[in-house]
Amino acid sequence: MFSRTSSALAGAIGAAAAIAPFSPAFAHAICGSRVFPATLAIDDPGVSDELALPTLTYIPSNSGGAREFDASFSYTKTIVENLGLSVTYGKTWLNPGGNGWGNLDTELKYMFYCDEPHEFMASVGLDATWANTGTTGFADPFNTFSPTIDIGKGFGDLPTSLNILRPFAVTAEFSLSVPSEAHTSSISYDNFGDASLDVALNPTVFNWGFTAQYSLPYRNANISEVGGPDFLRHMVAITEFAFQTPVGNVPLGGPVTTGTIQPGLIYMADSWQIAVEALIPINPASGNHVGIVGELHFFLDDMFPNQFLGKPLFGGRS
Amino acid sequence: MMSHNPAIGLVAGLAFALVASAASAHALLKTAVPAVGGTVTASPKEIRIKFSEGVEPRFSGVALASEAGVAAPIGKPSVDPADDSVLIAPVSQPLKPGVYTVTWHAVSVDTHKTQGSFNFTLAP
Repeated sequence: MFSRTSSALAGAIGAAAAIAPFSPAFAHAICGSRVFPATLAIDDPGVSDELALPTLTYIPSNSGGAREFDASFSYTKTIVENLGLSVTYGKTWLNPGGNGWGNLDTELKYMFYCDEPHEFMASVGLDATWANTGTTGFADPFNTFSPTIDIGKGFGDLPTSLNILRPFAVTAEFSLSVPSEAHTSSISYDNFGDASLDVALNPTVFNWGFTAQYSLPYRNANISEVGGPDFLRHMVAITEFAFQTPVGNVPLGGPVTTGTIQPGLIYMADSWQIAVEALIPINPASGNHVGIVGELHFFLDDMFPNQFLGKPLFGGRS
Repeated sequence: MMSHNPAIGLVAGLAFALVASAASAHALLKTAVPAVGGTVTASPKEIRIKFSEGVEPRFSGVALASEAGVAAPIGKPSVDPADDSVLIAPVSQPLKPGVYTVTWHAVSVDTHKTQGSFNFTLAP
């Protein structure tokens, strides 16, 4: 049974601990002096063992006019150094509309480039959302495959005359979501019992987003000490921008871009972080009210650096 | 008794893990003497860097250079006997006034690598 098995696995994950021999390990989304935090709307450019649990979203009125609450988790396991497999699963509650599980989402991702002096890193991935793994009638009845690229750039390499800009960093993500079926058909019946065939187009969607970040931890460690309470030295101010533009098999009404702008704050501790962001829809097709999203994120490679949970399945680290 | 709710089970397991595991992560710079971006009036006898975690001095290093990029003599780093999260590198000779760049790399006791650099000014 799902819940029993999952609980047992969860307990095993939590209980796993062992002493391991000394061997150097590399970081997750760290390139040179820059630490790219885990972000909520788009992915960070790193690959590491990590767990987002939970990610909670509340939207008072979504694009369909329903009150929406989402809860999900995401787990990433490195297979070899810089190559990881992520699994994301979540449930949505709508009022009106009921509730149901979304389809299981997986992503194979490879961090292929890190220029340490220039704090630039990039990764590529293939995301897949699998049909028939969610609640029938609630999740799409087709697969979706999305080749993805993530990049990140810190500005710590600017000259010291531009110190004010050096704590900034940007990340970006681009992907193309291609459904396995061009359209979805269903039969509906009116009050007289007459059947009609409904055909919905499943568009190919270009997803594009970026983040702008200002890191007080970076400033404190590389530019000038940050005074005041200690928590300030853990804070990253961030605004995320995430958009979706239909580019193929576009439904009637044309290619309307939807998306959100998400200003927020991230508190980065040594082996975890917590983030809270507002969800501001860019147009009525994206939502009708400002929502909120929060996430608790664990860096398993920091928590269990030389144990199964925190290191690659094969090959260790260089 | 084990919960039948997977989310509760996982949160409980991780909470246990957080409590049970020793605090260990990347060694990130917390404070330094001379201070990051600070100004001193006397030539420092050593560079002290306080990290968020304990560090391995055998795999860690500190370099010092003038604004012109000329390396300043600096000794082999060691950790404070009372606190292995403090890396200390002796400055072998008095420095001339100017802006200096400290470049460091560290391997934390849990083996994660980090690096960074900062400037300080020695006033005339």
